[in-house]
Amino acid sequence: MELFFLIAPLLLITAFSVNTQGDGDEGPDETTILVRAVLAGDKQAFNRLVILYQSRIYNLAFNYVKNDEEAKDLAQDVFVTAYKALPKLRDDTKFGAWLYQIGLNHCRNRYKRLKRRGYFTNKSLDDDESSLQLAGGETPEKELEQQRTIKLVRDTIATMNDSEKEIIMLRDLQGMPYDEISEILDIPLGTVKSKLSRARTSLKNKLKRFYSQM
Amino acid sequence: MNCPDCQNQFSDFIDAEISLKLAHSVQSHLAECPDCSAEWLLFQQTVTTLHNFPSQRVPADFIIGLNEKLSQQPFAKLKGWLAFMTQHKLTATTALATLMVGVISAAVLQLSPLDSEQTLARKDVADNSTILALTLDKDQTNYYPGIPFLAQNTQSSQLTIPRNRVQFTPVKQSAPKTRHNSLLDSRGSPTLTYSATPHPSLSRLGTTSPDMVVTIHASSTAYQHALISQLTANRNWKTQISGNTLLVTLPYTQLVNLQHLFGPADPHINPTELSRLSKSSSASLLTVAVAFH
Repeated sequence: MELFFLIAPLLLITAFSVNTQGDGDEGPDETTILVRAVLAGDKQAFNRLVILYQSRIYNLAFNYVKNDEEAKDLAQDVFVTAYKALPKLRDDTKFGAWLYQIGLNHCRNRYKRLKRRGYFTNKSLDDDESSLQLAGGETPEKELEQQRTIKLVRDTIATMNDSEKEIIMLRDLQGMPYDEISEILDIPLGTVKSKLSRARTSLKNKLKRFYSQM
Repeated sequence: MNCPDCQNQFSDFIDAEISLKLAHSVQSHLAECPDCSAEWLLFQQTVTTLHNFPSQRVPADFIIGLNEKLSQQPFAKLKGWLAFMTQHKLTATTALATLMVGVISAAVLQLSPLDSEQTLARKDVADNSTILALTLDKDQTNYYPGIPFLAQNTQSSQLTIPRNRVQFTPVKQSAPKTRHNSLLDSRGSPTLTYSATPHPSLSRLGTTSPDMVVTIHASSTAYQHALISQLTANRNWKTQISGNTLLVTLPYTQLVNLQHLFGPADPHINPTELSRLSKSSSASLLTVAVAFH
Protein backbone atom coordinates (compact mmCIF):
# COMPACT_ATOMS: atom_id res chain seq x y z
CA MET A 1 0.00 0.00 0.00
CA GLU A 2 2.81 2.39 0.91
CA LEU A 3 4.49 1.42 -2.32
CA PHE A 4 1.34 2.45 -4.18
CA PHE A 5 1.42 5.93 -2.61
CA LEU A 6 5.05 6.22 -3.60
CA ILE A 7 4.46 5.16 -7.19
CA ALA A 8 1.14 6.99 -7.69
CA PRO A 9 2.65 10.49 -7.78
CA LEU A 10 5.24 9.28 -10.25
CA LEU A 11 2.52 7.84 -12.46
CA LEU A 12 0.54 11.04 -12.19
CA ILE A 13 3.57 13.14 -13.11
CA THR A 14 4.26 10.89 -16.08
CA ALA A 15 0.64 11.07 -17.28
CA PHE A 16 0.60 14.84 -16.84
CA SER A 17 3.78 15.26 -18.80
CA VAL A 18 2.34 13.18 -21.66
CA ASN A 19 -0.86 15.23 -21.70
CA THR A 20 0.87 18.59 -21.62
CA GLN A 21 3.08 17.64 -24.56
CA GLY A 22 -0.05 17.53 -26.69
CA ASP A 23 -0.12 16.82 -30.41
CA GLY A 24 3.10 16.83 -32.28
CA ASP A 25 5.40 17.69 -29.41
CA GLU A 26 6.97 14.27 -29.48
CA GLY A 27 10.64 14.00 -30.20
CA PRO A 28 11.91 13.45 -33.73
CA ASP A 29 13.07 9.98 -32.79
CA GLU A 30 9.52 8.75 -32.38
CA THR A 31 8.58 10.32 -35.68
CA THR A 32 11.44 8.59 -37.43
CA ILE A 33 10.53 5.24 -35.88
CA LEU A 34 6.93 5.67 -36.97
CA VAL A 35 7.94 6.65 -40.49
CA ARG A 36 10.08 3.55 -40.76
CA ALA A 37 7.22 1.44 -39.46
CA VAL A 38 4.85 2.89 -42.04
CA LEU A 39 7.36 2.19 -44.77
CA ALA A 40 7.61 -1.36 -43.48
CA GLY A 41 3.86 -1.73 -43.96
CA ASP A 42 2.44 -0.84 -40.54
CA LYS A 43 -0.72 1.16 -41.26
CA GLN A 44 -1.40 1.86 -37.61
CA ALA A 45 1.92 3.66 -37.42
CA PHE A 46 0.63 6.17 -39.92
CA ASN A 47 -2.39 6.85 -37.70
CA ARG A 48 0.02 7.58 -34.88
CA LEU A 49 1.93 9.96 -37.14
CA VAL A 50 -1.33 11.70 -37.98
CA ILE A 51 -2.12 12.10 -34.31
CA LEU A 52 1.30 13.63 -33.75
CA TYR A 53 1.00 16.19 -36.53
CA GLN A 54 -2.73 16.72 -37.09
CA SER A 55 -3.00 19.74 -34.82
CA ARG A 56 -0.14 21.60 -36.47
CA ILE A 57 -1.30 20.84 -39.99
CA TYR A 58 -4.92 21.58 -39.16
CA ASN A 59 -4.00 24.95 -37.62
CA LEU A 60 -1.78 25.78 -40.58
CA ALA A 61 -4.70 25.04 -42.89
CA PHE A 62 -7.11 26.98 -40.69
CA ASN A 63 -4.87 30.05 -40.75
CA TYR A 64 -5.01 29.94 -44.53
CA VAL A 65 -8.67 29.21 -45.21
CA LYS A 66 -10.23 30.41 -41.92
CA ASN A 67 -12.98 27.81 -42.00
CA ASP A 68 -13.40 24.59 -40.03
CA GLU A 69 -14.66 22.37 -42.83
CA GLU A 70 -12.24 23.67 -45.43
CA ALA A 71 -9.36 23.36 -42.98
CA LYS A 72 -10.33 19.78 -42.13
CA ASP A 73 -10.59 18.78 -45.78
CA LEU A 74 -7.35 20.56 -46.60
CA ALA A 75 -5.45 18.95 -43.72
CA GLN A 76 -6.81 15.52 -44.64
CA ASP A 77 -5.64 16.04 -48.22
CA VAL A 78 -2.18 16.90 -46.91
CA PHE A 79 -2.01 13.60 -45.02
CA VAL A 80 -3.34 11.63 -47.99
CA THR A 81 -0.63 13.13 -50.21
CA ALA A 82 1.98 12.41 -47.55
CA TYR A 83 0.83 8.80 -47.21
CA LYS A 84 1.03 8.23 -50.96
CA ALA A 85 4.38 10.00 -51.31
CA LEU A 86 6.00 8.57 -48.20
CA PRO A 87 8.06 5.97 -50.11
CA LYS A 88 9.67 8.90 -51.94
CA LEU A 89 10.85 10.53 -48.71
CA ARG A 90 14.64 10.56 -48.96
CA ASP A 91 15.56 11.31 -45.33
CA ASP A 92 13.18 9.78 -42.82
CA THR A 93 14.50 12.06 -40.08
CA LYS A 94 13.10 15.08 -41.94
CA PHE A 95 9.50 13.91 -41.99
CA GLY A 96 8.23 17.00 -40.14
CA ALA A 97 9.77 19.52 -42.53
CA TRP A 98 8.69 17.40 -45.50
CA LEU A 99 5.10 17.23 -44.22
CA TYR A 100 5.05 20.99 -43.74
CA GLN A 101 6.28 21.50 -47.30
CA ILE A 102 3.41 19.39 -48.57
CA GLY A 103 1.06 21.28 -46.27
CA LEU A 104 2.22 24.69 -47.48
CA ASN A 105 1.88 23.64 -51.12
CA HIS A 106 -1.65 22.40 -50.52
CA CYS A 107 -2.53 25.55 -48.59
CA ARG A 108 -1.22 27.84 -51.32
CA ASN A 109 -3.12 25.98 -54.02
CA ARG A 110 -6.34 25.77 -52.05
CA TYR A 111 -6.09 29.44 -51.06
CA LYS A 112 -5.63 30.49 -54.69
CA ARG A 113 -8.53 28.34 -55.82
CA LEU A 114 -10.85 29.65 -53.15
CA LYS A 115 -9.77 33.21 -53.77
CA ARG A 116 -10.44 32.81 -57.49
CA ARG A 117 -13.94 31.62 -56.67
CA GLY A 118 -14.51 34.66 -54.46
CA TYR A 119 -14.73 32.47 -51.37
CA PHE A 120 -13.10 35.02 -49.09
CA THR A 121 -14.93 38.05 -50.45
CA ASN A 122 -18.34 36.37 -50.25
CA LYS A 123 -17.72 35.07 -46.76
CA SER A 124 -19.56 36.76 -43.94
CA LEU A 125 -17.32 38.76 -41.64
CA ASP A 126 -18.85 37.12 -38.60
CA ASP A 127 -18.21 33.56 -39.74
CA ASP A 128 -14.78 33.29 -38.22
CA GLU A 129 -15.71 34.75 -34.88
CA SER A 130 -17.94 31.87 -33.92
CA SER A 131 -15.20 29.35 -34.59
CA LEU A 132 -12.57 30.94 -32.42
CA GLN A 133 -11.92 28.92 -29.31
CA LEU A 134 -10.63 31.21 -26.64
CA ALA A 135 -9.40 30.27 -23.22
CA GLY A 136 -12.12 30.39 -20.60
CA GLY A 137 -12.19 32.58 -17.52
CA GLU A 138 -12.47 35.89 -19.38
CA THR A 139 -15.38 38.27 -19.13
CA PRO A 140 -17.67 38.34 -22.19
CA GLU A 141 -16.57 41.90 -23.01
CA LYS A 142 -12.93 40.95 -22.84
CA GLU A 143 -13.51 37.81 -24.91
CA LEU A 144 -15.32 39.85 -27.52
CA GLU A 145 -12.49 42.34 -27.63
CA GLN A 146 -9.96 39.56 -27.94
CA GLN A 147 -11.93 37.98 -30.77
CA ARG A 148 -12.05 41.31 -32.55
CA THR A 149 -8.31 41.73 -32.23
CA ILE A 150 -7.61 38.22 -33.46
CA LYS A 151 -9.88 38.66 -36.43
CA LEU A 152 -8.25 41.96 -37.31
CA VAL A 153 -4.79 40.46 -37.09
CA ARG A 154 -5.87 37.46 -39.17
CA ASP A 155 -7.32 39.74 -41.82
CA THR A 156 -4.17 41.85 -41.83
CA ILE A 157 -2.01 38.75 -42.24
CA ALA A 158 -4.20 37.72 -45.14
CA THR A 159 -3.29 40.95 -46.94
CA MET A 160 0.43 40.20 -46.74
CA ASN A 161 2.33 38.46 -49.48
CA ASP A 162 2.79 34.67 -49.36
CA SER A 163 6.39 34.79 -48.19
CA GLU A 164 5.68 37.10 -45.23
CA LYS A 165 2.45 35.29 -44.38
CA GLU A 166 4.11 31.89 -44.28
CA ILE A 167 7.05 32.90 -42.15
CA ILE A 168 4.77 34.57 -39.59
CA MET A 169 2.52 31.52 -39.51
CA LEU A 170 5.41 29.14 -39.00
CA ARG A 171 7.27 31.18 -36.41
CA ASP A 172 4.63 33.12 -34.47
CA LEU A 173 1.49 31.05 -34.91
CA GLN A 174 3.07 27.60 -34.98
CA GLY A 175 6.03 28.44 -32.73
CA MET A 176 8.57 26.62 -34.86
CA PRO A 177 12.30 27.07 -34.32
CA TYR A 178 14.38 28.93 -36.89
CA ASP A 179 16.25 25.87 -38.13
CA GLU A 180 13.03 23.99 -38.88
CA ILE A 181 11.64 27.00 -40.74
CA SER A 182 14.90 27.12 -42.66
CA GLU A 183 14.43 23.47 -43.65
CA ILE A 184 10.77 23.83 -44.57
CA LEU A 185 11.19 26.95 -46.68
CA ASP A 186 14.58 25.75 -47.93
CA ILE A 187 16.30 29.05 -47.21
CA PRO A 188 19.38 29.88 -45.06
CA LEU A 189 18.97 30.67 -41.39
CA GLY A 190 20.03 34.30 -41.88
CA THR A 191 17.39 34.74 -44.56
CA VAL A 192 14.78 33.32 -42.20
CA LYS A 193 15.70 35.93 -39.59
CA SER A 194 15.73 38.85 -41.99
CA LYS A 195 12.46 37.78 -43.62
CA LEU A 196 10.81 37.33 -40.26
CA SER A 197 12.01 40.76 -39.13
CA ARG A 198 10.59 42.40 -42.25
CA ALA A 199 7.30 40.52 -41.98
CA ARG A 200 6.81 41.41 -38.31
CA THR A 201 7.68 45.08 -38.93
CA SER A 202 5.27 45.16 -41.87
CA LEU A 203 2.50 43.68 -39.74
CA LYS A 204 3.22 46.12 -36.92
CA ASN A 205 3.01 49.08 -39.33
CA LYS A 206 -0.28 47.80 -40.75
CA LEU A 207 -1.73 47.41 -37.28
CA LYS A 208 -0.51 50.82 -36.07
CA ARG A 209 -3.80 52.56 -36.82
CA PHE A 210 -5.73 49.87 -34.98
CA TYR A 211 -3.49 50.15 -31.93
CA SER A 212 -3.91 53.92 -31.84
CA GLN A 213 -7.70 53.47 -31.57
CA MET A 214 -7.38 51.12 -28.63
CA MET B 1 23.42 52.67 -32.10
CA ASN B 2 21.07 54.74 -34.23
CA CYS B 3 17.28 54.35 -34.54
CA PRO B 4 17.13 52.23 -37.79
CA ASP B 5 19.80 49.86 -36.44
CA CYS B 6 17.89 49.51 -33.21
CA GLN B 7 14.54 48.86 -34.88
CA ASN B 8 16.15 46.31 -37.20
CA GLN B 9 17.12 44.28 -34.13
CA PHE B 10 13.58 44.13 -32.69
CA SER B 11 12.77 40.74 -34.19
CA ASP B 12 15.95 39.04 -33.01
CA PHE B 13 15.76 40.88 -29.72
CA ILE B 14 12.27 39.62 -28.91
CA ASP B 15 13.32 36.06 -29.79
CA ALA B 16 16.56 36.39 -27.83
CA GLU B 17 18.52 35.58 -30.95
CA ILE B 18 21.16 38.31 -30.50
CA SER B 19 24.32 38.46 -28.45
CA LEU B 20 24.28 39.90 -24.96
CA LYS B 21 26.38 42.85 -26.02
CA LEU B 22 23.98 43.76 -28.82
CA ALA B 23 21.02 43.24 -26.50
CA HIS B 24 22.53 45.74 -24.04
CA SER B 25 23.03 48.24 -26.82
CA VAL B 26 19.40 47.90 -27.87
CA GLN B 27 18.19 48.25 -24.32
CA SER B 28 20.28 51.36 -23.68
CA HIS B 29 19.06 52.93 -26.95
CA LEU B 30 15.43 52.20 -26.07
CA ALA B 31 15.95 53.83 -22.70
CA GLU B 32 17.19 56.99 -24.38
CA CYS B 33 14.98 57.18 -27.51
CA PRO B 34 11.22 57.68 -26.98
CA ASP B 35 10.41 57.08 -30.70
CA CYS B 36 12.17 53.72 -30.76
CA SER B 37 10.65 52.91 -27.43
CA ALA B 38 7.15 53.54 -28.79
CA GLU B 39 7.94 51.43 -31.85
CA TRP B 40 9.26 48.67 -29.64
CA LEU B 41 6.02 48.65 -27.63
CA LEU B 42 3.98 48.30 -30.82
CA PHE B 43 6.29 45.57 -32.08
CA GLN B 44 6.08 43.70 -28.80
CA GLN B 45 2.28 44.02 -28.77
CA THR B 46 2.03 42.65 -32.31
CA VAL B 47 4.20 39.62 -31.65
CA THR B 48 2.50 38.94 -28.33
CA THR B 49 -0.89 39.01 -30.04
CA LEU B 50 0.38 36.49 -32.57
CA HIS B 51 1.75 34.24 -29.84
CA ASN B 52 -1.58 34.37 -28.03
CA PHE B 53 -3.56 33.22 -31.02
CA PRO B 54 -5.85 30.41 -29.88
CA SER B 55 -5.06 26.99 -31.25
CA GLN B 56 -7.94 25.39 -33.13
CA ARG B 57 -9.12 22.03 -31.88
CA VAL B 58 -8.93 19.32 -34.48
CA PRO B 59 -12.41 17.95 -35.31
CA ALA B 60 -13.14 14.61 -33.66
CA ASP B 61 -13.86 12.88 -36.97
CA PHE B 62 -10.62 14.02 -38.54
CA ILE B 63 -8.92 10.62 -38.59
CA ILE B 64 -12.11 8.81 -39.60
CA GLY B 65 -12.49 11.10 -42.60
CA LEU B 66 -8.83 10.72 -43.43
CA ASN B 67 -9.05 6.93 -43.37
CA GLU B 68 -12.10 7.10 -45.62
CA LYS B 69 -10.12 9.17 -48.08
CA LEU B 70 -7.20 6.77 -47.87
CA SER B 71 -9.39 3.74 -48.40
CA GLN B 72 -10.89 5.17 -51.58
CA GLN B 73 -9.95 3.00 -54.50
CA PRO B 74 -8.18 4.20 -57.59
CA PHE B 75 -10.40 5.87 -60.20
CA ALA B 76 -12.71 6.86 -57.36
CA LYS B 77 -13.11 10.29 -58.88
CA LEU B 78 -13.99 8.81 -62.27
CA LYS B 79 -16.46 6.43 -60.67
CA GLY B 80 -17.95 9.25 -58.67
CA TRP B 81 -18.32 11.30 -61.82
CA LEU B 82 -19.98 8.41 -63.64
CA ALA B 83 -22.29 7.88 -60.70
CA PHE B 84 -23.16 11.56 -60.78
CA MET B 85 -23.84 11.39 -64.50
CA THR B 86 -26.06 8.35 -64.09
CA GLN B 87 -27.87 9.88 -61.19
CA HIS B 88 -28.62 13.02 -63.15
CA LYS B 89 -29.41 11.09 -66.32
CA LEU B 90 -26.69 12.86 -68.19
CA THR B 91 -25.28 9.71 -69.79
CA ALA B 92 -27.76 9.77 -72.65
CA THR B 93 -27.08 13.45 -73.21
CA THR B 94 -23.35 12.81 -73.28
CA ALA B 95 -23.78 9.93 -75.72
CA LEU B 96 -25.96 12.09 -77.95
CA ALA B 97 -23.45 14.92 -77.81
CA THR B 98 -20.64 12.51 -78.70
CA LEU B 99 -22.66 11.17 -81.62
CA MET B 100 -23.33 14.66 -82.89
CA VAL B 101 -19.67 15.55 -82.65
CA GLY B 102 -18.86 12.39 -84.63
CA VAL B 103 -21.38 13.19 -87.34
CA ILE B 104 -20.16 16.76 -87.65
CA SER B 105 -16.55 15.58 -87.80
CA ALA B 106 -17.41 13.07 -90.52
CA ALA B 107 -19.23 15.75 -92.51
CA VAL B 108 -16.29 18.10 -92.22
CA LEU B 109 -13.90 15.36 -93.34
CA GLN B 110 -16.15 14.52 -96.27
CA LEU B 111 -16.22 18.12 -97.41
CA SER B 112 -12.53 18.68 -96.93
CA PRO B 113 -10.40 18.49 -100.14
CA LEU B 114 -8.82 15.13 -99.36
CA ASP B 115 -9.52 13.57 -102.79
CA SER B 116 -8.33 15.97 -105.45
CA GLU B 117 -9.60 13.90 -108.37
CA GLN B 118 -13.12 13.74 -107.01
CA THR B 119 -13.01 17.40 -106.22
CA LEU B 120 -11.83 18.31 -109.70
CA ALA B 121 -14.48 16.15 -111.33
CA ARG B 122 -17.10 17.77 -109.13
CA LYS B 123 -15.74 21.16 -110.06
CA ASP B 124 -15.90 20.29 -113.76
CA VAL B 125 -19.54 19.28 -113.46
CA ALA B 126 -20.20 22.54 -111.68
CA ASP B 127 -18.42 24.45 -114.43
CA ASN B 128 -20.45 22.68 -117.11
CA SER B 129 -23.62 23.50 -115.29
CA THR B 130 -22.57 27.12 -115.16
CA ILE B 131 -21.78 27.13 -118.86
CA LEU B 132 -25.11 25.55 -119.65
CA ALA B 133 -26.91 28.04 -117.48
CA LEU B 134 -25.08 30.91 -119.13
CA THR B 135 -25.81 29.53 -122.58
CA LEU B 136 -29.47 29.09 -121.82
CA ASP B 137 -29.67 32.54 -120.28
CA LYS B 138 -27.90 34.02 -123.24
CA ASP B 139 -30.20 32.26 -125.71
CA GLN B 140 -33.31 33.49 -123.95
CA THR B 141 -32.81 36.76 -125.84
CA ASN B 142 -34.01 36.32 -129.37
CA TYR B 143 -31.51 38.35 -131.32
CA TYR B 144 -32.37 36.70 -134.62
CA PRO B 145 -36.09 36.06 -135.01
CA GLY B 146 -36.96 33.00 -136.99
CA ILE B 147 -33.67 31.28 -136.32
CA PRO B 148 -33.82 28.36 -133.91
CA PHE B 149 -31.88 28.68 -130.65
CA LEU B 150 -28.58 26.94 -130.56
CA ALA B 151 -29.50 25.48 -127.19
CA GLN B 152 -32.47 23.74 -128.72
CA ASN B 153 -30.19 21.80 -131.03
CA THR B 154 -27.97 20.77 -128.18
CA GLN B 155 -28.78 17.84 -126.00
CA SER B 156 -28.48 18.68 -122.36
CA SER B 157 -27.04 15.27 -121.60
CA GLN B 158 -24.04 16.12 -123.69
CA LEU B 159 -23.40 19.24 -121.68
CA THR B 160 -23.56 17.53 -118.34
CA ILE B 161 -20.88 14.99 -119.23
CA PRO B 162 -17.85 15.85 -117.16
CA ARG B 163 -15.20 17.05 -119.47
CA ASN B 164 -11.73 15.69 -119.26
CA ARG B 165 -9.28 18.06 -117.77
CA VAL B 166 -6.63 18.50 -120.40
CA GLN B 167 -4.04 21.11 -120.93
CA PHE B 168 -4.76 23.25 -123.97
CA THR B 169 -1.93 24.94 -125.74
CA PRO B 170 -2.91 27.87 -127.91
CA VAL B 171 -2.57 27.09 -131.59
CA LYS B 172 -1.88 29.92 -133.93
CA GLN B 173 -4.19 29.64 -136.86
CA SER B 174 -2.37 29.96 -140.10
CA ALA B 175 -4.04 31.46 -143.15
CA PRO B 176 -4.61 29.27 -146.20
CA LYS B 177 -1.65 29.17 -148.52
CA THR B 178 -3.80 30.14 -151.49
CA ARG B 179 -4.66 33.43 -149.86
CA HIS B 180 -3.24 36.61 -151.28
CA ASN B 181 -4.22 40.23 -151.72
CA SER B 182 -6.05 40.24 -148.47
CA LEU B 183 -8.87 42.73 -148.35
CA LEU B 184 -10.23 41.83 -144.96
CA ASP B 185 -8.28 42.23 -141.75
CA SER B 186 -9.32 39.99 -138.96
CA ARG B 187 -9.81 42.00 -135.75
CA GLY B 188 -11.46 39.34 -133.71
CA SER B 189 -13.38 36.13 -133.83
CA PRO B 190 -14.48 34.77 -136.21
CA THR B 191 -11.55 34.87 -138.52
CA LEU B 192 -12.27 36.23 -141.92
CA THR B 193 -10.07 35.75 -144.91
CA TYR B 194 -10.43 37.01 -148.41
CA SER B 195 -9.37 35.21 -151.52
CA ALA B 196 -9.51 36.56 -155.03
CA THR B 197 -9.22 33.19 -156.69
CA PRO B 198 -12.20 30.86 -156.84
CA HIS B 199 -12.53 28.60 -153.87
CA PRO B 200 -12.31 24.88 -154.73
CA SER B 201 -15.77 24.24 -153.40
CA LEU B 202 -17.25 26.92 -155.71
CA SER B 203 -16.82 24.75 -158.71
CA ARG B 204 -19.93 22.87 -157.70
CA LEU B 205 -22.06 26.05 -157.85
CA GLY B 206 -21.98 26.16 -161.59
CA THR B 207 -22.15 29.93 -161.70
CA THR B 208 -19.74 32.59 -162.69
CA SER B 209 -16.67 32.99 -160.61
CA PRO B 210 -17.24 35.23 -157.61
CA ASP B 211 -15.54 38.59 -157.38
CA MET B 212 -14.61 38.00 -153.83
CA VAL B 213 -14.42 35.05 -151.50
CA VAL B 214 -14.81 35.52 -147.77
CA THR B 215 -13.87 32.54 -145.70
CA ILE B 216 -15.24 32.43 -142.17
CA HIS B 217 -13.44 30.35 -139.60
CA ALA B 218 -16.16 30.54 -137.00
CA SER B 219 -16.25 28.24 -134.00
CA SER B 220 -19.73 29.35 -133.02
CA THR B 221 -22.57 27.66 -134.88
CA ALA B 222 -24.90 30.35 -133.61
CA TYR B 223 -22.80 32.99 -135.27
CA GLN B 224 -22.84 31.08 -138.58
CA HIS B 225 -26.62 30.67 -138.41
CA ALA B 226 -27.04 34.33 -137.62
CA LEU B 227 -24.81 35.38 -140.50
CA ILE B 228 -26.60 33.12 -142.94
CA SER B 229 -29.90 34.48 -141.74
CA GLN B 230 -28.78 38.06 -142.28
CA LEU B 231 -27.33 37.35 -145.70
CA THR B 232 -30.44 35.58 -146.92
CA ALA B 233 -32.89 38.06 -145.36
CA ASN B 234 -32.02 40.93 -147.70
CA ARG B 235 -34.40 40.81 -150.65
CA ASN B 236 -32.10 42.86 -152.85
CA TRP B 237 -29.42 40.22 -152.56
CA LYS B 238 -29.47 36.99 -154.43
CA THR B 239 -28.18 34.02 -152.48
CA GLN B 240 -27.36 30.49 -153.37
CA ILE B 241 -26.21 27.80 -150.98
CA SER B 242 -24.01 24.91 -151.87
CA GLY B 243 -22.35 22.78 -149.23
CA ASN B 244 -20.59 25.09 -146.87
CA THR B 245 -20.50 28.03 -149.21
CA LEU B 246 -23.03 30.80 -149.68
CA LEU B 247 -22.88 32.77 -152.87
CA VAL B 248 -24.25 36.30 -152.47
CA THR B 249 -24.87 38.59 -155.39
CA LEU B 250 -25.44 42.15 -154.37
CA PRO B 251 -25.16 45.65 -155.86
CA TYR B 252 -21.71 47.02 -155.59
CA THR B 253 -23.04 49.99 -153.62
CA GLN B 254 -24.20 47.70 -150.84
CA LEU B 255 -20.81 46.22 -150.24
CA VAL B 256 -20.59 48.32 -147.09
CA ASN B 257 -23.80 46.71 -145.78
CA LEU B 258 -22.28 43.30 -146.38
CA GLN B 259 -19.18 44.42 -144.60
CA HIS B 260 -21.24 45.45 -141.57
CA LEU B 261 -22.89 42.03 -141.39
CA PHE B 262 -19.63 40.48 -140.38
CA GLY B 263 -20.16 42.15 -137.03
CA PRO B 264 -17.26 42.35 -134.67
CA ALA B 265 -14.82 41.16 -137.30
CA ASP B 266 -15.51 44.35 -139.28
CA PRO B 267 -13.43 43.42 -142.33
CA HIS B 268 -11.48 46.26 -143.71
CA ILE B 269 -11.40 46.44 -147.47
CA ASN B 270 -8.47 47.90 -149.21
CA PRO B 271 -9.61 50.97 -151.28
CA THR B 272 -7.26 50.11 -154.15
CA GLU B 273 -8.73 46.68 -154.42
CA LEU B 274 -12.20 48.20 -154.25
CA SER B 275 -11.58 50.42 -157.25
CA ARG B 276 -10.28 47.41 -159.16
CA LEU B 277 -13.42 45.49 -158.28
CA SER B 278 -15.69 48.36 -159.32
CA LYS B 279 -14.03 48.43 -162.70
CA SER B 280 -14.30 44.70 -163.14
CA SER B 281 -17.98 44.63 -162.09
CA SER B 282 -19.51 45.89 -165.30
CA ALA B 283 -23.11 45.30 -164.25
CA SER B 284 -22.51 47.05 -160.91
CA LEU B 285 -23.21 43.71 -159.22
CA LEU B 286 -20.79 42.08 -156.97
CA THR B 287 -20.64 38.35 -156.33
CA VAL B 288 -19.28 37.34 -152.97
CA ALA B 289 -18.76 33.78 -151.93
CA VAL B 290 -18.97 33.25 -148.16
CA ALA B 291 -17.33 29.99 -147.25
CA PHE B 292 -17.81 28.57 -143.77
CA HIS B 293 -15.14 26.45 -142.15
